Amino acid sequence: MTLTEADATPVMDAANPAAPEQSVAGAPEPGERREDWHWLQRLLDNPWLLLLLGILVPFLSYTTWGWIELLLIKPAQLP
Amino acid sequence: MSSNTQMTEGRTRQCDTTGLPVCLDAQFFIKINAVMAVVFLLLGGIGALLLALTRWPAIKLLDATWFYRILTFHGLNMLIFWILFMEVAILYFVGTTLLKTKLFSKKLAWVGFALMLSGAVMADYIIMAGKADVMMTSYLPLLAHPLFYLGIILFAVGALVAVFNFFGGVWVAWKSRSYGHTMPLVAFGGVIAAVIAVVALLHGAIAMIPTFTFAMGWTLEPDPMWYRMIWWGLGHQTQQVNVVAMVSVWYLMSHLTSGGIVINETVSRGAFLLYVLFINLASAHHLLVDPGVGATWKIWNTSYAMYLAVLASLIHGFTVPAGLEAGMRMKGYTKGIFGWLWNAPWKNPGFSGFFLSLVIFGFIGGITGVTLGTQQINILAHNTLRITGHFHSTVVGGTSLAFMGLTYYVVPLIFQREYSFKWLARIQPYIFALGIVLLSLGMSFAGSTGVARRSWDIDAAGIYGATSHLMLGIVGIGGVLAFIGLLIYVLLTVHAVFFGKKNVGRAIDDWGTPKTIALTEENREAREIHKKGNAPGTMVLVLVLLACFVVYYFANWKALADLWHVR
Amino acid sequence: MSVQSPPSGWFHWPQGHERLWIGLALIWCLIMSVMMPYWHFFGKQNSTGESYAVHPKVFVERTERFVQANTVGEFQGMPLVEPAPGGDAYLLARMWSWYPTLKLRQGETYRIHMSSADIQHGFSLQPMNMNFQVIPGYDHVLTITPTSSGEFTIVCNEFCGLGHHAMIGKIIVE
Repeated sequence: MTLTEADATPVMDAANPAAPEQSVAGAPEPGERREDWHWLQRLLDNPWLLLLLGILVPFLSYTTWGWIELLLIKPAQLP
Repeated sequence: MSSNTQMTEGRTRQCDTTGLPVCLDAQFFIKINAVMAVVFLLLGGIGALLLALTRWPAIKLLDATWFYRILTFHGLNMLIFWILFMEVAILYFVGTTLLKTKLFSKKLAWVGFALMLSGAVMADYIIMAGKADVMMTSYLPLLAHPLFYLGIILFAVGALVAVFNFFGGVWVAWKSRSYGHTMPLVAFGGVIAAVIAVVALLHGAIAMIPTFTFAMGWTLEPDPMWYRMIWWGLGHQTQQVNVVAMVSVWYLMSHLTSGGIVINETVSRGAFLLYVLFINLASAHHLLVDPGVGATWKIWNTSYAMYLAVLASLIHGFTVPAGLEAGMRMKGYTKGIFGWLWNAPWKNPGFSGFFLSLVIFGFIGGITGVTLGTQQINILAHNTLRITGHFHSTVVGGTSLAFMGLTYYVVPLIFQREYSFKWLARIQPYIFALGIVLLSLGMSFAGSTGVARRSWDIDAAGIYGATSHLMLGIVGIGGVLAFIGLLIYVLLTVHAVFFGKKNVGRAIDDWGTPKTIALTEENREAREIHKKGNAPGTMVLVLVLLACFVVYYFANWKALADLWHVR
Repeated sequence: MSVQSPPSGWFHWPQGHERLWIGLALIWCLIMSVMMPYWHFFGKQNSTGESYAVHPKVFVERTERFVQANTVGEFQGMPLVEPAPGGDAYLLARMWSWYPTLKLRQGETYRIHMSSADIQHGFSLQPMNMNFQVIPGYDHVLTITPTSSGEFTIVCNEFCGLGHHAMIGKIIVE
């Protein structure tokens, strides 16, 4: 049995958008609430939290810590 | 279908090939940023040719002054101008079409573009005028003319404006749920790239502004070690933007050329999450043999937080080809372990650009980078040509080659013009890839013999033998070949943009997309193997990658152990 | 598809080969995470960044005194200076030379203080290929033990102007 056009390459398939009957992509299933979603899913869906964490982590670990290292340098004894 | 109100308010068109909505305002800015990207690529590329022909000892084209000048020019135009203009174009695309929203602000888009262009022109002018022979890194106390710093500041601010414009669009789309709750993976990659860009560009401002005011004579000199640390916050983190943009482009090209899919959205997005949290820490690997910063800071940061960001790369190194494998299997290419790979559209320059980029970045770039970026092995490699060999395989053989593959679709889809001389386009990625691989390997081996980077002439030292000279000759040859590949890409693209056959109203010419074949009940299991997370062909490839990694890694520790003892 | 929003229920943990690979890659990453701290404690080649703040003029002056006190000869136009074994030595980088030429003994440990009189330089010892950054204002101390003997060359590998590629120094080890 051969299948037909159902899984034709999407590029050439202008008239067939991907998401079928679901109302909003990524929406909760009927009966499921957003709060039931795993915390990782909620994080991944939140660009603002990602922006905050993405700025905070390197600025603390690399920049601030590095800056402190340089500020704490002792004067040379030159024995 | 999710709400389209965002798109219908502004001016939009529906793509005749993909069915995706294209905001016409965003389309304009994609075009002008992409055009500027290619202009600066050409400028940087001419610089590259001159440099390759100079480091090739038999040719020694430029004199010392011009070598150092063009080296500054080449670094800045390639690592900052070409690539950030292209990434801004990509952000305008993913931030509108994939999020189903219109351009946030035309004014901001113009301001960003004008700042980026004027900054780049200013910096390039002052370099060519001989007032900024300081290398792209411009390490204090080396001092350039103030316009050098001002040019970079303007460019960085312009890029930040463009990134802000992108986030503005994300905000509108997020609030109105124009893409639902979860944005497409390629757009998600764009968001991650944009976050990293914010961090990078902020570091640029922090480093450059006090340096500019010092160059003007208004403030005291910033400390050189502080400058190094902050500058590499700009310098390396822009390269991390490149990694994330490249990976996003890989997913996009896999889909466009071959129907590649995402096997597990959680895994791919989780890997991007590891990137956004930890990849920026590795700017520390530029400071591993520096004074001022201690061993603990060096080790923790250069490890990308226990290599979690490296894990992310290893994950994408699986999910991208596995998605390709799954897409091809679904079309019926299930023969043997690698049927999906042999039957992939190797003649499609969008595909070959993407896949070659994946292989070069993985096998050469990633492995050398992680290894050289260990605190101790860096003693063997810092400021030698090994470093240059590494980053030419990542940002050139990886990101730039992927962007070239992307362009073969951008021009027909966004500019709505077809390429002519398609036969030449089909071989271009291979020419460029071969050139870059030769260049990279030549540099890496030369660096292993102690040849320094940023050095006009190795004979002045009198200690470099035949191997070093041979390797530099290979660098020269590879560089010439890569330049030819780059030039073909630029000429074909410029020709297509201005003279290509218009394709308005119809789907783009097919570069070669694998047709669906043999969908039978017998091969159903082989076709749907990804539903259980399996991809046997990819599994073999990544195990080979891991083996190469382990061998290269420990070989370097062994080489380290032969050095004098030092603490 | 990577260009469409995923259908709801997209969130699920990896399985099959994907899970296997993530596990293998994670193990490899943990192994690599252990290597650097391991080498820091048990390995003999490390770059701890031991350094102190010093004014370039002060460092230049200290180097001159070191050279006066320990010169044993001359090598290719540069003073040949022999520090006491186990003691401190000074190496000054400036456009475009490495001053002085140190004479060391194989197997002995020295504390070599490196700094620059002017701009950044790159200490690159050949043919072993040992590389460290030299920065004005910073007394970068290397606690170093030569494990081989002969004549070794210092190449500068941080761009420092037109004389950069010709900025050569020597270290003699007996």
